[in-house]
Amino acid sequence: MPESVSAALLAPYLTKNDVRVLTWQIYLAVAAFAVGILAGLAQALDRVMPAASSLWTRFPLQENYYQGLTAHGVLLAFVFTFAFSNGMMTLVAAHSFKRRPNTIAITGSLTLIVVGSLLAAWQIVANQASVLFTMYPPLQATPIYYIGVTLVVVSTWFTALAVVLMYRGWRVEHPDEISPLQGFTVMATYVMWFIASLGVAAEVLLLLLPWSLGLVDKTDPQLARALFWFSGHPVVYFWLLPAYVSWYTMIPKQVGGKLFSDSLTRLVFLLFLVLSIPTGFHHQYTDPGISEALKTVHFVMTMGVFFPSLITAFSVMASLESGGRRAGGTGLLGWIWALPWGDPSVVAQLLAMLGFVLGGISGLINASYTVNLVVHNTSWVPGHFHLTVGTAVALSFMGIAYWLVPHLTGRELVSRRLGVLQGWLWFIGVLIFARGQISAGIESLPRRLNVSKLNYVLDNPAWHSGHVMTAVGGTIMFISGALFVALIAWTLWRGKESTIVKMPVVDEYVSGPEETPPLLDRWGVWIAIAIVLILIAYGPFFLTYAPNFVSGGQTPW
Amino acid sequence: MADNDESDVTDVAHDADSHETEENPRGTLLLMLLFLILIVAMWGYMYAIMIGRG
Amino acid sequence: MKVEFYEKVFIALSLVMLAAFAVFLFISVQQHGITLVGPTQRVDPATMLSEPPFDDPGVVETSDGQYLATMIARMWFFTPEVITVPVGSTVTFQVASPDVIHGVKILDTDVNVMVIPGQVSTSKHTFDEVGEYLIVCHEYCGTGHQGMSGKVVVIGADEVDDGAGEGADEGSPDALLPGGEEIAVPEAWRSTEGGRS
Repeated sequence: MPESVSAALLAPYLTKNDVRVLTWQIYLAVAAFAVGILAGLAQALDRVMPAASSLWTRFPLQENYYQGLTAHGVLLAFVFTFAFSNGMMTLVAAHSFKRRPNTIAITGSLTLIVVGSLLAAWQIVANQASVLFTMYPPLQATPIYYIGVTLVVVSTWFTALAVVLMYRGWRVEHPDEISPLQGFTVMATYVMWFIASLGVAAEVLLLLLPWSLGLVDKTDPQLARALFWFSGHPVVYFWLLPAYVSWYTMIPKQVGGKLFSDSLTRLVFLLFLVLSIPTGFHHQYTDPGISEALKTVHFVMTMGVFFPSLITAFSVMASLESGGRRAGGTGLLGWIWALPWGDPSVVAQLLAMLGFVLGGISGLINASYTVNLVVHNTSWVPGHFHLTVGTAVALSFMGIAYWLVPHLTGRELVSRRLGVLQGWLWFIGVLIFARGQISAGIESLPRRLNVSKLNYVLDNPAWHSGHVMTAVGGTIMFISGALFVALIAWTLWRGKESTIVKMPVVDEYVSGPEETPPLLDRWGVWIAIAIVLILIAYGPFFLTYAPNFVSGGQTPW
Repeated sequence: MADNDESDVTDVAHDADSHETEENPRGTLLLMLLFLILIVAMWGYMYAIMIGRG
Repeated sequence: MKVEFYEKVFIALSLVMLAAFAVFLFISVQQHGITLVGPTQRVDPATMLSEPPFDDPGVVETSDGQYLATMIARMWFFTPEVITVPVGSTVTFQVASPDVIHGVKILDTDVNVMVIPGQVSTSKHTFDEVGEYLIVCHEYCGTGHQGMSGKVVVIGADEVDDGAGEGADEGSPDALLPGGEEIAVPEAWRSTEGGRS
């Protein structure tokens, strides 16, 4: 890229190399997004195209449907999300603490995620790893695949290291001050994720890798699932919290409003630190190997972790209201129209919040113990998560990119109007998509299904209309995603150079940091509580579970 | 703000207590109540399906 | 920490709502007997097909109106594929897999379980209405996943003859799809031993 002065480069604590490394995380995220949504288009079209269509021969990664679905899940839910977070959150922390991130940590993070993604992608393309995002044994991928996925996860550990080092450096220089809010929230996110990721790390390093290398003959599928979901629930918060960082600490600035409460914001992030992990069994309510008693405990914890999101809904909306009223909105709801609907970054995130309303409710329903029996493993589930990770997170990330890419590169976004259009298209698309998935799911259409090859229930009108809505909505989402990629690429290629776009940082509060009790700016006690809750939620299982290593590898693709 | 009587576009009462209003998110409270009602309605619907199939 | 009044109202209502949900779920378990699956027995996927109970899949009447359906879920069919019982029967399903993870969902019931190699999944339903209840596999189990289904046929009291309480197995172990089409399941994919070659 030609030289272009950017706001990031103007920061005295960031070198050109720092900015370049973080920018490349964002480029990787956008590239993974582009390929991931292309794979997703195939799944959408599968609902309306016949199995025998020649379209499939022209579609990459469609040797079989499940190979494409693996690519879609891995590229979007691992690479896109992790790379975007690694880049964005490191930058936010650097600006917040006004410190330079450790070069080895950020370079290591980038290298690991690039290498890991390439290794995993290679195996998926070679149809050696059609195990889907969840990679449940006895389905068995290659060692190279598992190593690739591991490196992607470890890249986040390197970013965690960079963040913690910046925090510690700041703390040494400011022993008696409340830490800056944005830096604090980034730290909470990565501390939570580091602890959470230990489950899937153990699954891969202790179970899957030795088994796929042939060092052990058999593995234990129930144990593998328990370790996966130990991380598999908190990963959704690892995806979500960067969006929350933006909603709490940046969006108020972007709409001219105030942050509701500094202490409440910190409390929310600390609640996620302690409650994200001891909930994983709510993904395993239908597993035979886990007792009802433990499932009940996890259900209660899950009701707990819904709570900080409820607080977030209130606080963020209150910030929006303060901005809308200041902009002239009157009456009870007039502030809504007064928000900056011409700003693509704001629009994407407002729509992401709306999508999250439905996504969050459907998640609460999933988690509600026996109500799960209605929806588990039906198409309701992807309906739910395209509203959450697929909209609350992904659309927010796109909205953030609309200022972040100009901030990093100095290139002006080439079209605000197309950016706004892109946000609306995604929102409309996902509503149609989710309506199709959810309504068919209530009628028990399974998820993860090569629909064009379905040979049962060929005459259920609810399934049929579900298929059509999913196809139409998914296609609209693809068009929107392609438009986003095109806008970013075009901006990098042709955006007006040396445009200075600052990172939005909220600077007005209703209740500010001066009122924040020191307890909400500490780590030791909260990490201790997190560990105690994990021991309560998972201790009984791991201490009493008798290993059942009975399964050799299967590769039914 | 001393020019309340000149503003014909904005609500006079709004100008007088805009600072208050910023800190009393009434619109938010209304929308959040609607949100809770939506949660209860959707949850109840799915709960009824579960009971009906049991 | 100052928490504004409006937020306090919202927090209080939210907590009441979440507590109410928990109470309703408790009722669903206690009053309606809707429960989640838990650990019962274990099996060895490598030998289960030649050992009781999975050496003889099918339906038997264990006492008046109570049936036990022993089912195998494997790539990519259920054995038996059709279970026939009289209306009013309470059927206990015990399902296991000799290969990969499968799922079992019986439409219009609350039966929804994962079938994990090494574990037996046990669930129960009382069929109060005549009709056909589709059984679907809802967990990805390979490229034939979308062809894996079965059904429970519930017949009226007046139709009860020697067809009731039977499991119909419409195929050989090398499998027929519900429509009668034969599918070839490669031997390697039905092996439960060894790692990758």
